Amino acid sequence: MAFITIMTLNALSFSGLLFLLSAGFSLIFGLMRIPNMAHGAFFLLGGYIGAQAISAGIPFVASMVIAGAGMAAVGFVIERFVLRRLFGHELGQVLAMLGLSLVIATVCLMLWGGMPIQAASPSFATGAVHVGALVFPAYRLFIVAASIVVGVLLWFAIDRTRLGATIRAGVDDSAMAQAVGIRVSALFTTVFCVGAALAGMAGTLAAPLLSVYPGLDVQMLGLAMIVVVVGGVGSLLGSVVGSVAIGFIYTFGQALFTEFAFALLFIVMILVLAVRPQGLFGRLA
Amino acid sequence: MKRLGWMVLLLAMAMPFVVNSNFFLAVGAQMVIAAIFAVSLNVLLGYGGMFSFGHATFYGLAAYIAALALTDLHLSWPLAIILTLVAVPLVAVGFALVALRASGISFVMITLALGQLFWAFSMRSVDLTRGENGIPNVPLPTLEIHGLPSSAGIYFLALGCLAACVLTVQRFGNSSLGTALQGTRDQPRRMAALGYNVKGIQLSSFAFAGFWAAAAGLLHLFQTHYVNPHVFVLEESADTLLMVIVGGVSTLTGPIVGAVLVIFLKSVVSMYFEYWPLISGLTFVAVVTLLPDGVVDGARRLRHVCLDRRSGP
Repeated sequence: MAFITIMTLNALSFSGLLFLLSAGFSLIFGLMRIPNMAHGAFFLLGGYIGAQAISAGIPFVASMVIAGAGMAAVGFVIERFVLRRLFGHELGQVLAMLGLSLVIATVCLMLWGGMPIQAASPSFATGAVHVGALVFPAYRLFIVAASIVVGVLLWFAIDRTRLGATIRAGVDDSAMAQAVGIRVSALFTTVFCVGAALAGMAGTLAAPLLSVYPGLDVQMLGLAMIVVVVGGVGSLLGSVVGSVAIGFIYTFGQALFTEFAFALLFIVMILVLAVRPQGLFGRLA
Repeated sequence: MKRLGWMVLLLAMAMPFVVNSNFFLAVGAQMVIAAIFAVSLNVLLGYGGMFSFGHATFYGLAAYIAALALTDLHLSWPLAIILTLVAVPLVAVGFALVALRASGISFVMITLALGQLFWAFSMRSVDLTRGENGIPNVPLPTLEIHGLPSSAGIYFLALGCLAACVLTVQRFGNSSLGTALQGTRDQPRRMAALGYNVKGIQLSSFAFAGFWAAAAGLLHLFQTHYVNPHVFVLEESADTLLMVIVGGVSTLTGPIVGAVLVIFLKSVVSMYFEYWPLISGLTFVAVVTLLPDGVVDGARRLRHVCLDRRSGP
């Protein structure tokens, strides 16, 4: 019983990280129609920036904000100076992002080396929390809480604000949204920056748990893609459900039969694609 | 064009007799193997419009299947090769069946995710694949030719395979299947309305591309006698995509020129600088923004510009 409870928490905290990563990925895909190949690299660079800030003595939450702001700035530059130049040329955009992801990952390797860097967890979330006879690592609870807070904020922003309404309109039909006077190009920049910032914050949040190391970017990118394939593109609910599903399958799979955890992900992806090719909560384009 | 091709082949065949350096021949063999692999990717990309980000899967899988057949199953090497060349195209069809469930740009995403799963499997299932250490000392015959540097054998073998590859891909492009594939690239709906089996056409091309990718993987195994999970990494698929993009999609010669350029650049850069992906990434961005149709087309356009200027008023 204790095993299942602890594993559930582990799975939930991993799902939280996956959600922060895939929500931005899914929104960018929904609006701009490109899978952002550099999303894993944003996660990696955000993780390094956050870990660096933490080791410099900056409080944890502030470090997360710094990493998020840093990645938003990187996202802004990339959107304005690379993606915009290739507007309407989707494959060119995908290839350019693939190239930039290689560049970012290599710059990280040059700056921080090949050894994993583990950030210290924040003082308010170190140690263990006792609930009855069960002991939970406080930091995992913190990740779950943080991702729920961000998730609720995102949902509020997308579902209840004017900006959110314009984003939804852009996802549904960007030509029509433009025709009714929405500045879709400004939306592109906003969503790309928000997505990059979320990836950067997720990287910082992951730094004490997974530590940051070369190769983490592609691993996380692959998982985020599976989440989006399962959950559906452009849907926040899809990201939530996809992240929880993949987080649980991955965590329990790793614990119960290490060798076949990935085969299990593969099977889930095939099943979803067979039944609903657009993903559980996606709409047909 | 055809005459030029034969001339290049003859020149390439003369190389081992002129260049008496094993290092250069080894790099040459790498170029030729990469060219076969890039041409096979271009079957999907150029003719089929299917941007697969997981093409290294077939290359890596071929090396693994052959290596395991030789070490664990103790098959003789001709049998292991036949097994690989049959198995990999079948896997390619399965891969395509999954990836083609999604249309358009989502296809890119699924091919990448599938490629990652193969990488993860090769890393994790230590009992079967030996994990990160890979499989060393694969018992394949060494192809040494008396009186020539030791890499000359693999170089000639690869060159022969490349010639066969180019000829079959050319035939494929002109065959009814190849033209139908180009039709599904440009007008999938119309092709379906005309009664063509779009899915079937795409699956057959995956099998064909998988076959030549497998051949490239086998040649890699012949050259190194070693395979590890690195063959599956995204950087490998990205390098090959780069070759095709640099050379130019939808030309037969583009990927070969791209492969030679990329491997040359990679070998030169690696001598002075250990961070090759930085250069390849920047090249990606530069080619996509400045030369969207590749160097072959870029050179052709440049020549036209020069000719126009000369014959201008």
